[in-house]
Amino acid sequence: MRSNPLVTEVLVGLTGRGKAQLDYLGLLLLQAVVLFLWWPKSGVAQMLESQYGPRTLAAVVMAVGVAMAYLALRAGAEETLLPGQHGLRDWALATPLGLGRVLRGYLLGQLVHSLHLLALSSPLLLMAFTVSGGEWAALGWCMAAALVQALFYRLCGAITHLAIGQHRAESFFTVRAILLLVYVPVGWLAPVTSHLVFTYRALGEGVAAQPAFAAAPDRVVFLAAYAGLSVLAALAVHRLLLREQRGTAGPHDGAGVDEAVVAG
Amino acid sequence: MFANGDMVIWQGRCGRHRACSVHSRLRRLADVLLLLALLCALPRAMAGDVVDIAAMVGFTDTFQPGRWTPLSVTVTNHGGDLSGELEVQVTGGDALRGQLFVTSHRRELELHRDSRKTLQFTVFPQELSHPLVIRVRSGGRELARAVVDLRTRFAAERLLLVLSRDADLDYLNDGAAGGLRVLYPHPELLPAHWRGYDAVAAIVVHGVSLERLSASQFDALHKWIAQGGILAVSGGPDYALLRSPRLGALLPGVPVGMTRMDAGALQSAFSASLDVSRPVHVNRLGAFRGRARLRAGAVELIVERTLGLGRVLYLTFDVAGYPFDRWNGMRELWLDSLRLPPPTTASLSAAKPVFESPLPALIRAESTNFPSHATVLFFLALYLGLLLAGYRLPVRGKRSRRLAPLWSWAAPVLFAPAAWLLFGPAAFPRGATAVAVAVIEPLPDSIYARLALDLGVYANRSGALRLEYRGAEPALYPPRLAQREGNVGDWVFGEGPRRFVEPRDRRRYVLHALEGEDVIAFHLVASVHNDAMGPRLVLDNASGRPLEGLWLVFDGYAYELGSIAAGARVERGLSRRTHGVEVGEASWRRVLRPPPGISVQMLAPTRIVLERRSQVAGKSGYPGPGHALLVGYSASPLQPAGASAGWPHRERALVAFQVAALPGDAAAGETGTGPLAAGNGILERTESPRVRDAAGAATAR
Repeated sequence: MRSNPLVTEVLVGLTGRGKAQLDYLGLLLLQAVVLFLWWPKSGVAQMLESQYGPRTLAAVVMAVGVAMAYLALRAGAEETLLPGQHGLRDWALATPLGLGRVLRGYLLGQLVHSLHLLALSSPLLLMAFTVSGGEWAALGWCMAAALVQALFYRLCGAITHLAIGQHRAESFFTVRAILLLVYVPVGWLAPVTSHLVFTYRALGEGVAAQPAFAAAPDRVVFLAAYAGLSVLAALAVHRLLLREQRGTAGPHDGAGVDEAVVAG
Repeated sequence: MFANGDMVIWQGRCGRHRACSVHSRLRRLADVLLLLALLCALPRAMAGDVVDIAAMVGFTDTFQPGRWTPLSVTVTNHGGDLSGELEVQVTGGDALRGQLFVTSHRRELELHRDSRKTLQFTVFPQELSHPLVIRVRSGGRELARAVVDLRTRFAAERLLLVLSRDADLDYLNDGAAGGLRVLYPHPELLPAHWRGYDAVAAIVVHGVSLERLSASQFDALHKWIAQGGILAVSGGPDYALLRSPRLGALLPGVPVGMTRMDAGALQSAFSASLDVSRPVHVNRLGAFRGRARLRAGAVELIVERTLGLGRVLYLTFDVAGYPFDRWNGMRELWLDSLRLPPPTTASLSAAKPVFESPLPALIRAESTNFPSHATVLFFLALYLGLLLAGYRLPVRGKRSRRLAPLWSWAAPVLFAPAAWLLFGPAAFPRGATAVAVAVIEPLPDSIYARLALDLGVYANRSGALRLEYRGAEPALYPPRLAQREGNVGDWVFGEGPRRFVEPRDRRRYVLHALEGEDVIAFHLVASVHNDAMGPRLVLDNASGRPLEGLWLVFDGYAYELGSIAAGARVERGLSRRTHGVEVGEASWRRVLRPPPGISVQMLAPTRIVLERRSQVAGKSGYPGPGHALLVGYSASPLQPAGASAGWPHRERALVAFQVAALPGDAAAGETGTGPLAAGNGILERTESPRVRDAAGAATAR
């Protein structure tokens, strides 16, 4: 994995200090606020009387999912990059790396980035987990769903970037529109594609009398749907990059990228 | 054309050939599928044949709906060794409103090849419309299944059980409302739990020995009498049976021989209508407890003793022999002697009043609560502050720069386990909790006590909630309030040596509650003597458990007695002026102060149960004139065991013992014990070895 320069670039970038980290710190603060607001206000006895447990974990997992999706979308659209990280177009057009390798590195790099974000959120998730009483398996599935979902959004962001280019305003609005569109109307019309619904069913009271969340088939549908969409989005990115490669008249100024390749 | 025609023919042949080939393939496929289906079905069919289930509900396959009833299930194994589980499913609830719930009673089952085993359950068939479903399972597979239709097996009347080889008491049958149905069950099939006698009004023993019963069956019978059952034992020429240890322990006295009675004496004792043409022999009694209800001169004919809240009658004559077998007055004699109490409403009748559960109060008082918002805020501020500081602080020097990559991972890696430990095991451990509030009411003149139990289990994580327990063996049922609200889930009750309860609903933060009742070994002997200065208390705590925070409420005063150790005997003279606290009917409950070390809030659950018991009895709980009340705390008789032994356990057990006060100059006789009547024999034994063992074990504990 580390032989891929795009992954190396992400690993190096994660240790640096840049806007991306600061952005995620902001989102972490938002998650902390959610955790604090959803922290049980009444005692155990009152919870037992109402027959509903704290929904802290579900709320925090939802917040983590949204935060990761938002950040992935912005990273895909190259609104925010890790320190020293180069854009996808640069890698594809200005380096001798094959498109397949670039895409593989891009996806792996996204996975590493998401795992880092998850690690940063893990103390909050564990705090919520202790009081909410969910199952480890359900939490694991929710995290896997957030990762796959973030991958899809990253590719959506990349498509936006490749399609719109450097038009900041259009890109800005498109990125947020995608997030809003997929989260609200699509999630409402097709709940099986909604991470919020997925989390609620896995960790909320929707789990009800089911023996274990692992028995529910929703998780497979969600993961398969997002994996499938990610494959389609990856193909679209590949096609866009190929078209750009073919359409590029002169050599691109790949300053810095070559250095990164050498460093990788 | 020809070529075309030829081709057409060839195509046709080819088509036919293909059709034949496809047809043959399909047939082959069908054969294979059929074979596979047979192979799959074969083990099931074989399993179905190798295990047989036969069931008997109630007594001689007759039961009363809405009452606890015994269920005997005989499993016959015609195949190889079997290790599995026997399950009985009982459906209850309101079918009209669609609020049904299923209680499953499970027992482990091990059967060698070509063997048979009979297992006893105590079930509560609420109504007739839902059959009992009995299953034998092994390795997750159902080996046999039987459906028991209840509609053909019920009786509306109360049951009178006659344990006899030849007695015919059918004249006691009465089909009227609240009447009697006489049944002749086999002694070996009597219930193994006292609650199985719920529908039984009385038991008549004639010419059979109770030594044939298993230890648990005899205990069940003894406990049933102690909590209010009526046992009548008929004498006869084979009086050696009545001298056997078990009957000897129950009877008011043991026979020492036979005595001859002439017709005149019998007719004067019973009735002139008794046709006696020759002398009759009746059992001659030695010393006896209780009182003689019928005598013929110096010969006792019917003797009665109390045993707890129940009674044991000894009819010294043969009720099925000459001349009583042909006497028309026997029905009246029986009814007059048995003095059956009026029929009560069904055990879990909706008509019975329902009260608040004491469990939430106990949970409120004792349960661990969530870590506070302040702790959360502090932890979050620390974590986010550290991350921000790591981001903001300039990295100077080679060493710091080399450590920088670690920083982005080190903070979460350090804080994640800290969050888990601090908010999890340290402050709020994940897992299940058992809650129990019990009221123990020692029965007078008995080694037993009545136990009313509220049991609850809950968890702060999802998953199975199986509470294994030891100590008491209560008959458990969903609370009446929940039944009335249609808010009852399905339950699994494990019976047999390893008893457990398990709600089928695995939701977290749901209190799964049950109510239960039992009769437990709890021997407390107390007498209160009303002296001029105040009461004098003699208390022998043979219950095997220490009593804490004990108070005596008597004659408008409450006296604090403190703690009394297990096995201790206390004799204490109390003065109204120095020891007494003036109390009234409304204020006496303030003596229910929690024992030292327990928060003041602990008052609530015990007070709730005490008030509930009082309301059920239609009284205030305050001892009436000439009566005293001993009230204190003890350990709960039901304790988590096995896999649940490590569960957090919140419990409160209140002991409430009402005793009749004796005049101050009276001899220190034990309260509730009847006077020993003069006789010419020796009362050798008052308790059976089994009973004595149980009491000894309780004391040892």
